[in-house]
Amino acid sequence: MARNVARNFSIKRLPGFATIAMLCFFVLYLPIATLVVYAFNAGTSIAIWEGLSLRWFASAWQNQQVIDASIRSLQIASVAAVIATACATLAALATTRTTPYRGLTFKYSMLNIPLLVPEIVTAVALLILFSRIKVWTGYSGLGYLIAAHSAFCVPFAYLPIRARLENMDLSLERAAADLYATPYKTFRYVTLPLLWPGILAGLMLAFVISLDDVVITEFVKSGGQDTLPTYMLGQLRRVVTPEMNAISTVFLMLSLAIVTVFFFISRNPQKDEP
Amino acid sequence: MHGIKKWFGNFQAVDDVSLEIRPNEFFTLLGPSGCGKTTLLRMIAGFEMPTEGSIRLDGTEIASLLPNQRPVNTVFQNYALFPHLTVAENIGFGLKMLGRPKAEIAATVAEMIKLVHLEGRGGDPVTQLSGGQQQRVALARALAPRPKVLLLDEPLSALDLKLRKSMQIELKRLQSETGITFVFVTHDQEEALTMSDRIAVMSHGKVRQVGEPWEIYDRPAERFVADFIGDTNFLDVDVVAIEGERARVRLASGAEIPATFPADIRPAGKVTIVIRPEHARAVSTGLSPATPQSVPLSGTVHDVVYLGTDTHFHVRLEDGTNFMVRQQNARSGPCGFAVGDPVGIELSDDVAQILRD
Ligand SMILES: Nc1ncnc2c1ncn2[C@@H]1O[C@H](COP(=O)(O)OP(=O)(O)O)[C@@H](O)[C@H]1O
Ligand SMILES: [Mg+2]
Repeated sequence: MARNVARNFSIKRLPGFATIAMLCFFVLYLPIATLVVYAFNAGTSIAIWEGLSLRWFASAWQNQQVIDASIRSLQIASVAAVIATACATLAALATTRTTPYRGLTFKYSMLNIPLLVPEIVTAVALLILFSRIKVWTGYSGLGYLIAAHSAFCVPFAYLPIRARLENMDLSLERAAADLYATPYKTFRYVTLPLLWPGILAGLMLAFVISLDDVVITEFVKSGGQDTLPTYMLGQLRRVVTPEMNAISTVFLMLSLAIVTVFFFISRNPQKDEP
Repeated sequence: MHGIKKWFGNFQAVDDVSLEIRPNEFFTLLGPSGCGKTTLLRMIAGFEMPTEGSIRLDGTEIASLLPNQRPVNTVFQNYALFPHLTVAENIGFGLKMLGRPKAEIAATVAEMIKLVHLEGRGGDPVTQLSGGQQQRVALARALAPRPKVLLLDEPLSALDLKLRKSMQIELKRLQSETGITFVFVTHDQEEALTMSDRIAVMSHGKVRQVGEPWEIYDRPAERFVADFIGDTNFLDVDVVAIEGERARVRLASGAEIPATFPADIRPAGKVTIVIRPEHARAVSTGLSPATPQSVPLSGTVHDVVYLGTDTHFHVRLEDGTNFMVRQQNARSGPCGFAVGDPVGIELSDDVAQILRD
C-alpha cells in the first residue's frame, strides 16, 4: 500500500526533474571544485592552469598574517561556542522542562528571532554599542568579538539541544526522582548523559557558524583583529593568488570534518531511544 | 489517604477519595480510562500534589514531600528505563541515589536479577531487551530499594495476551515473595479480579466501591460497578420486608426472593436488583407444574449463543425485560433450547443484590 503510494507520487518521474537536480548540484559544487583544484596550481593565476604544486599551501603556512588570523579565528570560535552552548543548554532546559505558562512561546520566539534579523542590522547595532563601551572602558581586546560571536551563536546551539530535549521522555526524569534522585542528581545522572549528543551538536554548530562569520566580525573588530574570513576578504581587494584557494581549501576540509562528526553524533542517538 | 481532591484548572479529576490500603496487600484501582486512576497514583508517588486532602504512610503525612523523599516506587506504563544504562545499572539506580555502598548495591542487583529471571543479562543495554524483559527490569528497578509501596500503572497493557497472563502470575508471586504493598492500576476487570486482594472501582474521579474481588463481583453496590464488571441482569422489584441482612423482594411474576443490599442503605419501595447470568438456569416449562416460588421467572428464548464451554440463552421475560442465562455445557451435544422455546428460569440461593440508587 505505502509502496504503491510512493510509486505513484515518486518525484523522480516528473519530467525534467533529473535535469534540474543535476543543474543544481552543478551550480553548487562546480565553483567549489574549481576553487579546490586551483589551490594546487603551480602558477600565480587562479584561472590559468600551469601544473600541479603544493606551493600555495606552503606559502599560506608561512604567511604570519594567515597564521595569526587562523589562531584568532579558532580562539574566538572555541570560546564563543562554549559560552553560546552553555547559555543555549540552560535556555533549552528552561523552555522544555517546565509546565507551559503564559509567555513561554514569547520567550521561545525571542530565542529564535536572532536567526531572522538581518546580520547587518545586528552588526551595526553592535558596532555602535561597542564603540561606546570602548570609549568608557578603554578596553579594546578580543572580548568584543567573543561577546558578539557568543551572542549570535546561541540560537544555533539552541536548536539541536532543544530538539534532543523534546525527544527525551519526561518520564525518565520522573523515574529518577521516583528512585530517590534529588533534582541535581537527576540532572547529573539522567538528563545530562542523555542530552550530551545534543550539546555536542550545538557546540559544533556554534563553532562552525562562528568560524565562518564575516559581517559582524568586520564591523566589530578593532585594528589588527582580523579573523581568517575577514583577512581573506581584505586580501581579495588586492592581489588574488591561489594562496586564497589553498586557505579556503583547508578551511573547507575543517568545516567538512566538523559537519561529518556533527552528522554522526546527531544520527546515532536515535538508536538508544526506547 | 483521606478526602483527596484534585483539580486541573476547573476540571476535577479526583473527587473526594478516601481509601485505606493495608500493609502487604495487592490493591487494585479499577475503572474506565479517564476516571482518575493515574492521577491518584501520581499523587501517591508525589508527581502531583492533591488540591485538598491528606496522604499518610504508616502514620506520616507525605502529601507535600517530593517524589525522591517518599519510600514509594513506581513501575511506569512505558517502563521509563534509562536508555544510557545497562540492565544492572538501571536496577541499581535507586540504591545508588540513596548512597548505599557498592557491595550492597551489587548484591541486591544480583538478587533482583534472579528474582525477575534475567540471569546473564545484567551487562546488556536495556535497549536490546524485548518488551517483556524491559517490563521485568522496570519491576526489578522499582523493587530493589525495597519501597514500602510499589505503584504499578497499567504495567501489562503494552504486552500481548500470552505474556500478559504469565506476567500476572509473576506479579502475584513477586508481591507475595517480597511482602511489599502493591497498588495496581488497570482498566481490565478480569485482570483486577484475578490478581487483587482488594479492588477499588472508580468512575468520574470517585471511588464507587471497595471490596474483595468476590464482593465487587457478587455484591455490586451500584449499577456502574455491576455493569463495568462482567455480564449482568437488572430487574426492577419491590421490597416487601427487611429480615436482618436480607431483604425480601417481589419480582414481576409475584415470586418473592431474598436479596442482599449494601450496608449503608435501607432499601424500601421500588429498587433494582442484579443477578449474574451464571446464577440462573433455564428449565423447560412443560414437565412439572412450576410454581412461581421454584421457577420465579419465565419467558421465551430469543437468542442462543454457543461458546464451547458455555451457552448463553437470552430470554425475553413476560414483562418484556431481557434476561441472560449462562449455562455450562456439562454434557457434549446440542445445548437444549432453541430460539422461540418457552423456558422457566431457576435461581441459585441468595444471588440477588439490591443496588444503591
Ligand atoms: N495534567 C493534567 N492537566 C489537565 N487534565 C489532566 C491532567 N492529567 C489528567 N487530566 C485529566 O484528568 C482525568 C483523569 O486522568 P487520569 O488520571 O490519567 O485517568 P486514568 O488513568 O483513569 O485513565 C482525565 O480526564 C484527564 O484528561
Ligand atoms: Mg491512566
